[in-house]
Amino acid sequence: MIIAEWKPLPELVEKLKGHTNVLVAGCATCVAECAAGGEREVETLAPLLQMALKKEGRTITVRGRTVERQCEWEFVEELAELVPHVDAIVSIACGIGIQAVAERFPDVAVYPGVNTTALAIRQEPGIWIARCAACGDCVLGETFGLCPVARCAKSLSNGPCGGTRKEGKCEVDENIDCVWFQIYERAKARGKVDQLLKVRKPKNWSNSRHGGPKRVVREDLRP
Amino acid sequence: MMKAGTRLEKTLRAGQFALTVEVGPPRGPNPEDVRRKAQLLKGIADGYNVTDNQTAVVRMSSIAGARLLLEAGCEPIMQMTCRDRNRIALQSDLLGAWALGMRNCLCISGDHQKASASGKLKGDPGAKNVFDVDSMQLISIMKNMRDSGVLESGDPITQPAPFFIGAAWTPFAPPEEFRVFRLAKKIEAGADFIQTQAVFDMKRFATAVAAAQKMGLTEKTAILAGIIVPKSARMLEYMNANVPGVEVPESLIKRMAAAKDQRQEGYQITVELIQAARNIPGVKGVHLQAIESEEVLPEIIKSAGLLPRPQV
Amino acid sequence: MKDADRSKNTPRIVVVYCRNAVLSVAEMLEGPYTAKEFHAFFAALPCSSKIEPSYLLKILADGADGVLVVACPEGHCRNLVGNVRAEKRINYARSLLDTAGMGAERLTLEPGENLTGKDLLELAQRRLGPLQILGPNPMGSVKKLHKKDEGTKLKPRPARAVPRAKTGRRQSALRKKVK
Repeated sequence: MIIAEWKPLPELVEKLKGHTNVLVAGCATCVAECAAGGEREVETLAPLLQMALKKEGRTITVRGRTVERQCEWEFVEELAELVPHVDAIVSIACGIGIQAVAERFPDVAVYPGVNTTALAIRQEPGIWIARCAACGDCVLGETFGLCPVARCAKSLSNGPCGGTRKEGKCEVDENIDCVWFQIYERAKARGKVDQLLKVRKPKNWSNSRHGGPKRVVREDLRP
Repeated sequence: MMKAGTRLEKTLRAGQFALTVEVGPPRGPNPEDVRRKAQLLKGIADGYNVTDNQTAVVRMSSIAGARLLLEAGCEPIMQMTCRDRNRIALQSDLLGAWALGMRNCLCISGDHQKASASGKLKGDPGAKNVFDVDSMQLISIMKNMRDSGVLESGDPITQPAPFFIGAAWTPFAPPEEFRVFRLAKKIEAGADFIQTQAVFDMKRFATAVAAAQKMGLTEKTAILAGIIVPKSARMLEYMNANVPGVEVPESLIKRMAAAKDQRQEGYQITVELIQAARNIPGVKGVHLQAIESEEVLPEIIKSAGLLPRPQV
Repeated sequence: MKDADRSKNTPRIVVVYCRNAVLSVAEMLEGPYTAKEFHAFFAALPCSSKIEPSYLLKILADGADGVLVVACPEGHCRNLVGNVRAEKRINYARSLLDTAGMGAERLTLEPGENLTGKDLLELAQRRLGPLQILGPNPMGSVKKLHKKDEGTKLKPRPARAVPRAKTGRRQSALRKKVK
């Protein structure tokens, strides 16, 4: 899922100071999965914003509405009936959803309530770890199912670097595993260490954001 | 057949025990800061490493530092990390460095920019990093620029740019058993010489080098043992706990702590480490680092019996 | 409590407690209760873990001066770790209250077991001092500050997950008394 985390409250308060009627818009898909933008979080953020703004001397009304996904126009449409009553929307969907809302409702101020950060998996309850970097040149078939782009702090193709800590943790963050350590362990378990001996050539980054803003067209799916 | 004809290369080819030292560029634009260090260290080493924004802290560039050293009579070993520049900038800088007289280059991945915020420094932990290519690929790039006169893209350059190519080795970082294979990879990619992460346990290091020797690697590349001059027991403890791949034996820390003059003891320990390294078959030299105190190096090198440097 | 008028010295305290922490059904307090020094509102839950930060924050946003959650003591949860979860959620909600400048102390957790109705009242009473220090809730008098969805409802609201505790004769007798 795409994961996001709440923006610091003072940042939101600053943006909302000039408004009176706010809609907190949630999304029941990715951001709900990472407990940042689902219905529960809408219901937590709404009273919190009210109280925080009251402390700044501003009385605002806050409505909350969660749609299935903010990255689909059909669901974004469900917000339409509320928009005439508000002068600001705080969307706690991922950046895609926030932009969809902003595009559909260009006359109202739309603010992000979250910072979208990564493509991740919920490893355990309460722990999300980035797994994919959307590099557009997937090498998972050569690294035994472990992504060195997203999970190596230096995105090494020929890791590990000399920084692997004891117990196989990453030099940059002791809480995350050195993925190249893990790749080696898996190769060893399968008796395929020789696959790691070839010097891998530089990646072609052009199929990702590095090649320019991504645009995909499928003629077979066009009306 | 000489690859780049540098003093380091010649020393190694002549079968002499090589000595390189590290020079940290200043956190400022003053060339005198580099010239002063060059004056101190002239003639005591076969190559002078100039770090590349080490620990991601902004310093005078390695190319500029290296050029200043060269002008002052010290043959530089330019260092290049993969953190700050993409393949276009790296190759461009290599062409420029060659034009300015650089002939030794050490390729490393580079510390993540998070490391720059430490101690009193705010650093740049918020900077974007590059890591377009990794150190292994950079080695290959340099090899192709030298031996085939082509860039990574396959496009030719007007003439080859021969460098004596260096790489790093951290034999004790996990997964330890893979490290010798990674060394093999770097040699295959084109590494002519290796400078290791600081070694304090020469016995353990000897086992690692023996494994490399068994694979025939010590014939294909020159391994220089990295040695950091310890200043205090606290410094040793810090390195043991925090610097990946560095292991300091408990006995050494105790020895330092018990010493009357820890600085002097540190010099003594360094000399002993150098001697021990000389006795390891397959080790062709040492790479000495005296972090932020290069001025102690001449004394230590003299005590180790490594002066004068051989004529090559 | 919606009609409870705000005067300087009568804090409004909402007590949300675990049904299992109370001695018996007869001792359960439900709904509004006015004492000399405070207005209280009692709500029983089937387990303290039933709370969500959103409920607690909403109660405060609606004007309560303080919220007290009463859970079974460590190791005594009938659902094994319900009280552990409750504590984590309360700590989270408290940290949110701090970021909003409302003061984490408005929301507290007390352990309790074999409680009588009187005990519940006393627990509420104990909050008076700290709440007086914090001062009245800046949200002002209790008033619904957020409107329901206008227009047609697109999705039916989910059925109330927690059925109201069935009150026996004694319970309603108690209620009549405290009104």
